[in-house]
Amino acid sequence: MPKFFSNKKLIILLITIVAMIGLIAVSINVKDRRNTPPVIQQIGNDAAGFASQVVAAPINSLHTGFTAMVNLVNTYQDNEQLKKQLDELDQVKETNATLKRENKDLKQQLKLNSTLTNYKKITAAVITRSPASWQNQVVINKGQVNGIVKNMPVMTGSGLLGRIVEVNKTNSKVELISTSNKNTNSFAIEVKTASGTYVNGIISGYNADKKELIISQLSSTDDIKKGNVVSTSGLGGLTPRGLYVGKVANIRKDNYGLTNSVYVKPAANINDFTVVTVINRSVEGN
Amino acid sequence: MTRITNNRLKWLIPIIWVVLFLLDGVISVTFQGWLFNYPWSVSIQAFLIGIVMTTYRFPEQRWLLWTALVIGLFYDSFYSGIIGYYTFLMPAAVLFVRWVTNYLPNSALFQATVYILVLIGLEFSLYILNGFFGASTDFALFITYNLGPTVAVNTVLFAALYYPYSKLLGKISV
Repeated sequence: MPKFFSNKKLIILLITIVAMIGLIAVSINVKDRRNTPPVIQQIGNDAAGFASQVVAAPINSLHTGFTAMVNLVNTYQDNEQLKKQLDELDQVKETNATLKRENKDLKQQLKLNSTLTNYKKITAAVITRSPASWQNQVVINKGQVNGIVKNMPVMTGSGLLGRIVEVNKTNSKVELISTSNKNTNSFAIEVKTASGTYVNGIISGYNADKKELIISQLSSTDDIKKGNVVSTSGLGGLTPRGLYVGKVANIRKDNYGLTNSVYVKPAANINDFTVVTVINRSVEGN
Repeated sequence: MTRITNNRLKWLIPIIWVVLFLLDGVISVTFQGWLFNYPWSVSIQAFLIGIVMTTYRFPEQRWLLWTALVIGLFYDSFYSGIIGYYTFLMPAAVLFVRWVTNYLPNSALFQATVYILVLIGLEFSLYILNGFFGASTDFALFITYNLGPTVAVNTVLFAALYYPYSKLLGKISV
C-alpha cells in the first residue's frame, strides 16, 4: 500500500496550504481597496457572465413558464385586491406629482441643484447567484459601461436589497443586506417616529430565523414604536436619502441588556427577485 | 486509450466542467426562494459532481488536476471575487478521488459515497477558512443549517445527474 503522506508530499501540502491562505488574504485586501478588480480578472468575469447567460437561457424559459402557470391561479384574487387599492393610488400619485413640482420650484428658488434625495435609476437583471450559502451575493448584468460604481445601493421592488461590491465591465456583484459578512460596509438609516422626528442608526445584521434586519447604534429608542417607517439617511457612502428599507417589527434589549436593538421587517423580499434597480445618487460622495 | 480519444477528452471535459460550474449559480438563482430560505441554506455543488465522476472514471488522466485548478480560479473570481478557495480545494478533490480509486471499485454506490465524503470535506474546509477570514457562524448552526441540507440536496442532484453524466463520459471516451 503506497503511503498517502510521504515526507516530500507533506512538504508540498504545507506549502500549498500556506499559499492558499496567503492568496485569499491578498485577494480580500485587493477587493476591499480597489474600485474595480484587476483587468485580467475583469475579462475572466465578463466572459463567465456571457457564458452563464447562455447556460441559463433554457432553464430560465422553463422557470418562466412554470411561474406563469402558478401566477395564473392567483391572478383572480390579486385582481380583486388590487382594484380596491388602485382608486387610492391615483389620489396618492396626484398628490405626489404636485409635491414633486412644488419641491422642484422651491429648490430652484434656493438655488439647490441636487440634494441627497435626488437619484437616477439603473435597472438590471440578475444573472446568477453565488452557490456559497455563507456569501449572499448575486451577479447582475450591468457593469462599468452602464455607469455602475462600487458601493452604490441596490433596490428590488419597494425596498433596499444590498450594495454593489465589485464592478466588472459588463457585470457586477451585489452583496445582499442579509449577509453575515462582518467586514462589509453598513447602511446608515433613520427611523421616523410618530412625532415626526428622525432617529439615526445603522443596519448591523440580519436575523435569518425571523427574517428581520437588526438596527443598532440608535441615538435613542424611546420614541420608536412598532410600525415606524425606516429608510436610508444618506449619511456616508453613495446612498441617497429616503430609500425605503421597511417597518419596525420589534424592539428588544440586546444580549447584555444594555442597549435596545430595533428589528425591522424589510420591504424587499430578500430571497425572491429577478430584476433589481441600482441607485445612482446625483450628489457626489466618497 | 488511443491518442484521438485523449485529445477529445482534453477538449470536451473542460467544456462540460465549465457548463456544470455555471449551472451551480443558475440553479442557485432559479430556486433561491427555496434554497436560501430559513431553516436551511443549501449550496449547490454540480461542478464537484463533474470533478468526482470524471476523475473516478479517468484517474490516469494527470491533466485533470490543472483543469480543476484553472476552472476553480474562474469559480472564485466569478462567484465570490476572493481567489483561493476553489482554486486549491478543487485540485485537492481531484487528488483525493485519484488516490481513492486505488482501493474502491467503480460503481454508482461507491462514486456517490466518495462524492458525499468530498462534499463534506469541502464544506468543512470552506467553513474553517471563512471563520479565519471574518464570516464566521456558530458550529452547531453550520451543521444543521448548512451542511445537513447541502448534503441532502446534493445527494439528490447526484442521483439525478449520475446516469446522464456517465452516459456522456461513455460517449466521449469510445
